[in-house]
Amino acid sequence: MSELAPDLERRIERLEGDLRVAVAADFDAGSWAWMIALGVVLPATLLVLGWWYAPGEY
Amino acid sequence: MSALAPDESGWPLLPGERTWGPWRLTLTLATTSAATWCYLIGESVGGYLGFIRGGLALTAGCMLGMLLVLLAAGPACARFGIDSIASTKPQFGSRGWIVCAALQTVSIIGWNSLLIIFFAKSAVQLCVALGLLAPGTDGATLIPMLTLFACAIIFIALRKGSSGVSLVSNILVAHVAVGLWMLYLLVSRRWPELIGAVPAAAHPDRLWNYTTGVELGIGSTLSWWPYIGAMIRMAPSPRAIVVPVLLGMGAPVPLLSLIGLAGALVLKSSDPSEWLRTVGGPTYAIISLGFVTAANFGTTTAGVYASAIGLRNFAALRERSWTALLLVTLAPVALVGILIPELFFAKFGSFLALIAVAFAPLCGIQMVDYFWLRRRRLDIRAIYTQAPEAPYAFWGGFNPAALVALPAGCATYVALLNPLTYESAALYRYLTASLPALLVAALVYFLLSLVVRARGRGGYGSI
Repeated sequence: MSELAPDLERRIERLEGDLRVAVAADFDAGSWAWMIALGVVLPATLLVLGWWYAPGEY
Repeated sequence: MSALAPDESGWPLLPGERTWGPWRLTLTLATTSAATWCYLIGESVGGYLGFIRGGLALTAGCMLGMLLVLLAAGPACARFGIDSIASTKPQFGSRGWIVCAALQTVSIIGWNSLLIIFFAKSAVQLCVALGLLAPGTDGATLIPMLTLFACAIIFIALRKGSSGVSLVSNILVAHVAVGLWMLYLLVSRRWPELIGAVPAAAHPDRLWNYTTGVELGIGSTLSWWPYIGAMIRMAPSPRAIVVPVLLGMGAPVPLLSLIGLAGALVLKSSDPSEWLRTVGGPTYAIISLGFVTAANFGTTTAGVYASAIGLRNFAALRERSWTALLLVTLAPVALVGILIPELFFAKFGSFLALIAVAFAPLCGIQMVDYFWLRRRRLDIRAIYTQAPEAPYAFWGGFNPAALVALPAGCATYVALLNPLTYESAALYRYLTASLPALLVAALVYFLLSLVVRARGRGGYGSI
């Protein structure tokens, strides 16, 4: 007998059967592209611009 | 529990209950991220860097930090519709998650208290500017009353659960545009001074200053970890959260921090109401006070919601009514604002800086566990099972790998940079403090988890 509350048990059964939460169903190629663009390429670009090209001493 | 609305419970949300589309999520995250702390962040950066270089370093750090939070809590929260605390159970164990819950609770309640006190102070200034109060009115009596008022409004709004968060953000999102307008004013009218301004506390080492700007950015957005799960679980899938999180929560922080950065450099004050008075007279000051008043409201509403959902993980609060849970979450904020607002205002910032040290290691642990050790496989049933033989029970509900890795990461951070005094080790100027802390925690967790896995604990091969 499940130790889980009935509502929780129902939810988990539903989620376990849902292909959308299946194994490794997280970020798709588009998501990774956005993450790399905004989270890696953009920061790297800004850092280069700020260090080498920003005007002024500070 | 069946009487609770799904978004008021700590249970995983079903796909049909996750109704926030990209725009709704983006607006809510943007409203959440825009608060008085942006001025403080900008002011901090303005102590070391000029406007352009500071803005670029801060933005780079903020976007990087936001990516780390997204990779840490995003997959589990967005796949299963769970909050940040529940997402730590595979790493910390079926009881060990309480460490993360303590971090979340202290951080959010601390920030909520600070922001509500900011709200109350700004509201007093606004009333003085509008002629409703005499100039020089002492806030000692008004601030506690205004704190109580703010808590009451937030309570009423959140009676609707996540809809209340969304409603508040729909109303208050305009303040983000007002903030950008304020930035435009200062930049357009004081540009020559802005470019020529010398940061008040610039280190002789240019690289140190630059790294510090990046570190302040990373640390600022890493501090979103406690908030993010409760928001993104309302979106239908991991695909639906990436752009809203990065652009809705990551980008507004540096943009609005530019206000504090510019103010600190030119006018030696990050408080926009002070410098807007010099730029555009009392009318502009009133507008800015209105902006500050509104900004903190949206953030605190989201923070109370996230904190309440996080508290659902505690057995004693799992089936309490939503009303009772909101009161439990709001009570500390109200008490601080009523009893010790000035003391809290003066001292708690330092404590919050110390708390924030833990979020980088926490993100490192979550990322290495999800992407490398578990190969993106999680057992949703195990997250909610507390039996001794359950996959995430480890030893007595605690995973020693996480409990060792977290302080190891924190120690790494503090060894590189004192978050209170900003004294630093030699390597800091090349590495920041957050990134090595994250990597050390991840490495320690990975190595110890190999032992845990070899002992058959942790559910690594269960699905």
